Order: sequence, then C-alpha cells, then structure tokens
Amino acid sequence: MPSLPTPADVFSIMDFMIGYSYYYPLFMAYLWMTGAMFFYLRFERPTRDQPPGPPELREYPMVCVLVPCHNEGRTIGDTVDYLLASVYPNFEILLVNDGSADETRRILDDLAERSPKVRVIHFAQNQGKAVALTTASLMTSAEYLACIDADALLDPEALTWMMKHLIESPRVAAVTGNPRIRNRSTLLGRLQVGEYSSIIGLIKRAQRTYGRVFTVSGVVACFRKSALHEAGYWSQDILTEDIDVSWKLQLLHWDVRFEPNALCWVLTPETVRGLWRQRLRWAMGGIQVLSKHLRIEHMFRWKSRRMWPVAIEYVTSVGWAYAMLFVAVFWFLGKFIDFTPEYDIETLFSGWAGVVLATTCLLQIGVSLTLDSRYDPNPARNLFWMIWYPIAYWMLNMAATVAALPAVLFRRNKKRARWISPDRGIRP
Amino acid sequence: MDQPRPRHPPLKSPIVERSDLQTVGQRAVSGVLTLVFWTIWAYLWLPLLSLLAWAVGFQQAYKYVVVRGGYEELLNLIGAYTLVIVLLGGSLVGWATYNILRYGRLPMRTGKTVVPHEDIARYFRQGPIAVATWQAAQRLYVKHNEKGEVAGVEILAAGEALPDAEKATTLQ
Repeated sequence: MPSLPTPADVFSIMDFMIGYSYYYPLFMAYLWMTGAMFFYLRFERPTRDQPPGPPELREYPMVCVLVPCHNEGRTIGDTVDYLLASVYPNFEILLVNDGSADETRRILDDLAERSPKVRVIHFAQNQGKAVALTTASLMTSAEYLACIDADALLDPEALTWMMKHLIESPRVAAVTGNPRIRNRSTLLGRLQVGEYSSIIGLIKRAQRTYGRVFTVSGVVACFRKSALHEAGYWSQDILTEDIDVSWKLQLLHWDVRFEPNALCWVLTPETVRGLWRQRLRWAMGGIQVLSKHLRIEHMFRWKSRRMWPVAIEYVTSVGWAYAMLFVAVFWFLGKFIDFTPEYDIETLFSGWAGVVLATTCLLQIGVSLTLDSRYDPNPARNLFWMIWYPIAYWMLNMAATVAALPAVLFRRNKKRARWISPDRGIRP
Repeated sequence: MDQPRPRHPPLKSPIVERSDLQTVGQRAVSGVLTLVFWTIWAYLWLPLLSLLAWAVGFQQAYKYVVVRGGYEELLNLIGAYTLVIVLLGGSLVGWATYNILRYGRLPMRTGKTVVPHEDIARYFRQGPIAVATWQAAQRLYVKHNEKGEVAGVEILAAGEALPDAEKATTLQ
C-alpha cells in the first residue's frame, strides 16, 4: 500500500482502514472548527453595547451548589472560598461528605459553622458520585442545582452566566460551563491546557451549533431539578454519570447548553498513569452510555432523531480507534514480515498528507486560541507543547477506546460506580 | 478580539505553575515525550522541509517536487479536501441556520415545569414533611440501603458528633 487513498478509494480493506484512520480525524477537525466559529459568531461574540461582566437577569431564584466530596480535605477550602465569592445573589452550598476517610468531615463542619450559606450532609458510607448528587437533590428545596467538583474553583460570575439560559428558556435542562486547567507545572498539565481549548472547547461549541451535545462537563454544570426528576436523576451504574444524564435529558427533548463565560478552574492529572486512568474511565463511560441507550427502544424512534448524529459520531470514533490500531499493527509488522503489496504499509501519513495533517493541527490551535483569548490570558505561552497535541490526543484516544471496549463488555452489569481519588497534579 | 476582563482580585490565583516541584523522573519523561512528538511533527512537514531545502540550493528536492510532478499530488489533495470540508461544514452551518429560522422564535415548553415538592418526596419514598425539615437543616447524617436509596436521615445540631456506631467508612 504505497500511498494514501483518495476519498473515493474504498476498494480493499486496507485502503478503507488507511482512509478511515486518516480522513476521520482530519475532517472532524474542520467540522469542529466550522461549528465553533459559527457558535462564536452567533452566540458568543460580544456586541458593542454589551456591558462588561455577567448579564442582568430578570429574576434570581435560589440555586443550590452541590459539591460531592470524597477525601477532599486538601482542596475543599479553596473551592468553598471561590463559591462564597459568587456574585449571584441567591444561593446555598450543599457539601456532601461521601464517606471520606481523611479530615474532610471536620473541615466541612468548620466551613458550615463559618457561613450560613454552607450546609453539610455526611453519608454513613461511601456511595459514589451519582448517589451523592441524587441524595443532595432531595435535601434542597432549590429548583436549580449547580454541580461542582470538590477540587474545582468556580469563577464568581459563572453561576449568573449559567442561570441566564435556565431563566430565559424553559426548555433548557442543563448548562455546562467552561473548564480551564489550573495546574500547568508539568508537560501533561500544559498539554491539557491545549486540549481543553483546541479539542474540548471546539467540540462543545460545534455540538451546540448542531443542537445536541455529547455531554455536559461533570466538573461544572447547572441543572433544572424538574428536568432531572423527569429523567430519573443520575444513574449509579455508569462510570461517567455526566454523559448519561446529558443523553437522558436530551432524549426527553430537553435542551443542554454550553456557556463559555462560565469559567471553572479544574485540576487535572499530571502523571501518565493518572491521565490514562482518567481517559480510560471517560472512554468506558462513553461506551457504557452508548450501549445502554442503543439497547433502549426509544433511541430508535423518529422523535429521537436529533440524537442519532451524536450516537453515530461516537460509534464512528470507536470504530476509528480500531481502524487506527489495525493500520498501526500492519505498519509495525511490515517491518519484520513480507506482506503482499496491498497490505504493505511503507510509512504512516507521509508525503503531502502529512503536511495537510500538520497544517490542520496548526489551524485548529489557531482557531481555539482566538476563541479562548478572552477567558485564558496569554494561552499562547503553552504553544511549544500545544502545537502537536491534536496528534497526541488522537493517539491517546485510540489507546483508551481500544482498551475500554473489552473492559465494558466484561464489566458486571449494574455494578455501582464508586470514587477513586484521582491524580490532581503537582501542588505546593 | 477583546481584551481579557479583570476577574475578582481578592481571590488567590487559580493557576498552579510550579515546575520546580517535579521529580527528576518526571522531567526526564517530559523531555523524552516532547522530543518524540516534535520529531513526529517535523516528520509530517518533510515535504515542505524538502521544498525549503530546494529553495536554498539542494537539487534533489527540485527533482521530486517539480520535475516528477510532486506538486500535482498536493494540488489534487487540496482540491478534494476542500470539497469535502465545504460540504461537511456547509451542512452543519446550513442545519444550524435552518433550526434558528424554523424554531428560534417559537415558544417551547412554556407550561409550568416545576415538579411539586410532594412528587419529589414520593419519588424518593419519603414523607413530604420530613423532606421539608431536612431541606431546612444545616447538618445532616444520611444512611443508604444496598440500592443507594435513602434509608435513614438524622438532623445534627451544630457541633454534634456523628453517630459513633456508624462512623464514615469507605467501601472500595
């Protein structure tokens, strides 16, 4: 197989696999860029008469900020400090101590004593994030629930930005915020600064342009409780409860929005092991949600048709991981075995195809830096590490997806998803 | 593009940038990974690097790019890719515009959507009066059954310790 096939060439399995592994990420990158730019021009670009700061809302109903905590003694103080600085005038904070074994219990009680806005629930035993959020929903009278991870710092204006959508449109069930990376001490931290801008931010904007999102960000999202009630709250047996609840809400024809002004500063893994575990969990969760909803009849109803492209895109991405693996394995084995010419892969993405791929990376980074320059001052500082990250992202995605599919197939059904304390990077 | 807005100086900066705290092993892995990916990145640019080499006088690149028609492949690729990208991007933008024009101004789900308090209590198999009391309490202690359902709730006074027999434990 001497050269890359053109889009019209699908004559042999190898041609198809090589074409699939090359063209899918390439064209998806342009689709994301187009969708993200449309979103920016239609919804995000500030108008000349727009005053600085968050929008003025016609009402400020009570919002309950739910913060599930499992062994979060080291981070929860800063998280609550940021929440208490919120400019939204009517909120309470509900901290859920989900069976922590460290000093979380004492710290949460101290925080509750310091501020009447802070309430605390202690669980007798660890139950997992989905049960923590669901139980907390029962323990507040608020109709609006903002869910924040215990190691995330919510920008003081974020609640107002997210509530704007829920107040203005009764069909909105959830609004997801814009996670930004806090820890940038290591290569992996800096890489993820690029990833959250050039991949996740673009995808969220492009999906909103289409009208449906794959998922809210579990680390920062605001929900309408009535919609959650209709959807049956969060599922206990799914590793990524955020993906699952997003699908449930949208299949019930609720709208899920993305608000880039709702910033939330998050800690990410800074070790290869930590990053791998996180990505494997995301990939497994995505496949779990997909297989769960494909088994449910309502996914195939005509009324659910707007979710079909989201499902098809995810199936295609899982297929792409295996196609890429197939090509890479044949390329590697070809170094030791003499294949027939049609199965012999001399190089991966050489020639002009490589230049096109590299140029696309540059374009993607350029578009994302332009769109994100309002939220993350001087993001180009990490350009040295970001510039090739889209390639690294696809490789990581491939490995995690390939490992996740068998892990999901052999996972015991209905097994409760529980906490595993993640790697939060290097901190002083 | 706008200038970044100032955001609440009293809070400490959320950014953690302390590369000095890395171990020697982490620095080594970072260095190797950076080198590997910059090599891959440079490899992708080989044809352009060849072109640059030709520009400064190396005749081999000239032979491949001009004499043997290497540029024709590039032109063909760009033409085919542009067509696909315009079709894909145009479909997305067309779809979004259609939806904005078709549904953008229609009132949807305008009926009262707030679920009554009693319905929520019933969903969780709890009494509405008890739930209302819990919702007003500042400290709660909650037990769950095997299914993750709420099995018991105690309201704790300020400073009151958690029930001794049921100290928080971690199931892993």
